[in-house]
Amino acid sequence: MTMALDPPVRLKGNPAARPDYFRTDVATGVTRNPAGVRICALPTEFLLGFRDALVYECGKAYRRVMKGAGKKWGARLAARFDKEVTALYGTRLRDLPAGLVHTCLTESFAAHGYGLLRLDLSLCGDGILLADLADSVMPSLIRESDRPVDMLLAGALGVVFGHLSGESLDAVQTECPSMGAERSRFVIARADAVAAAEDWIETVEAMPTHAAVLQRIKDALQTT
Amino acid sequence: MNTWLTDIMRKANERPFPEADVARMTAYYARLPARLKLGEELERAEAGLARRLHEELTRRHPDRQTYSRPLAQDLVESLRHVNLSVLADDPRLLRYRWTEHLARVLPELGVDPLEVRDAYLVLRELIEGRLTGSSWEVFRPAFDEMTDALTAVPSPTA
Repeated sequence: MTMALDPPVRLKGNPAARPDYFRTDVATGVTRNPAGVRICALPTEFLLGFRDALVYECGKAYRRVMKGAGKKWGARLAARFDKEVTALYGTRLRDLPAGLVHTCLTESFAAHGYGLLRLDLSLCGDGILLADLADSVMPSLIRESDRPVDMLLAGALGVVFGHLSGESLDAVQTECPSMGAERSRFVIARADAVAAAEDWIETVEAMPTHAAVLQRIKDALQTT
Repeated sequence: MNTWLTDIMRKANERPFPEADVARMTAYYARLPARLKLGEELERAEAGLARRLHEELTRRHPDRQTYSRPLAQDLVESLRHVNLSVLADDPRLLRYRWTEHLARVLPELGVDPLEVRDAYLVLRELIEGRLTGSSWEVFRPAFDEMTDALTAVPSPTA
């Protein structure tokens, strides 16, 4: 027997999985989703050019700039996701079961072409959420790097889950296909703990392992 | 996620329709009136169906807390996804929009997929009596595929 659930289980399906989810009006040159939000495709040439320009203009600081851009994007992404899911279920996002919200988020990521998001809640008791992303865009463009290259997604994921949890969260990428990993991997936790881990990563010569970064964040969470 | 018909049309921009594509389209249009009739019948059958389904579910399974009135409404509305898939003659529409979503979300919610399958079986009994025989025959394969898929979803207690 299934235990009593509060709020009641609702099943609305995957709204993005329909052939006309993105509608392009060729007369006006505008593409929108069913919520009326304008969508535009950023070709790989643009993303690489954008990154190259940032490297040229900002030097080593480009990583922080990219992550900052990801945070700004994440804030808008979270607000739009909140609005769309709230409208679909007729219930405030914060009142919906977390499992349902996570499923909707992974489906939204897939529909927009950001990759296949998978969440690991096993460390939630420690205040840590693990996420990995298969077929993410930036690692598919930057084939080789000595540091993770998914800063946009790291910034966005931290803010999105911060929005969902109501806390100030941040994310750090610990594994990356550009460094030989199978998929991008992120650790999401309280912003100050992630910032401490990132400061440490910058001081070491080689990129630390996922386990080492995770331990660093755990230590930071325990000491504060 | 384009339907097979969209795929054919897109390719036709580059070359004429091959025999196999013409045969498929001809077969599709020959069966289209039956599919359209099914849509009309389903729309009429929806009235009062969620209330009836909820009553029947709580009568048969009084111990299952999952069976709320809103869930009954959701399941009845899901028949529209089945109908759309039948209308387009493309099982992928139902799979992507509904079945695969259930496979992902039910374990996350801690809901036994067999409880949802049981609800669909009750819904099947109710809807079968409200559709004409020919419409039910058009509808049944897609409906059965959906309920069968739910048996493959691992139970949270497994």
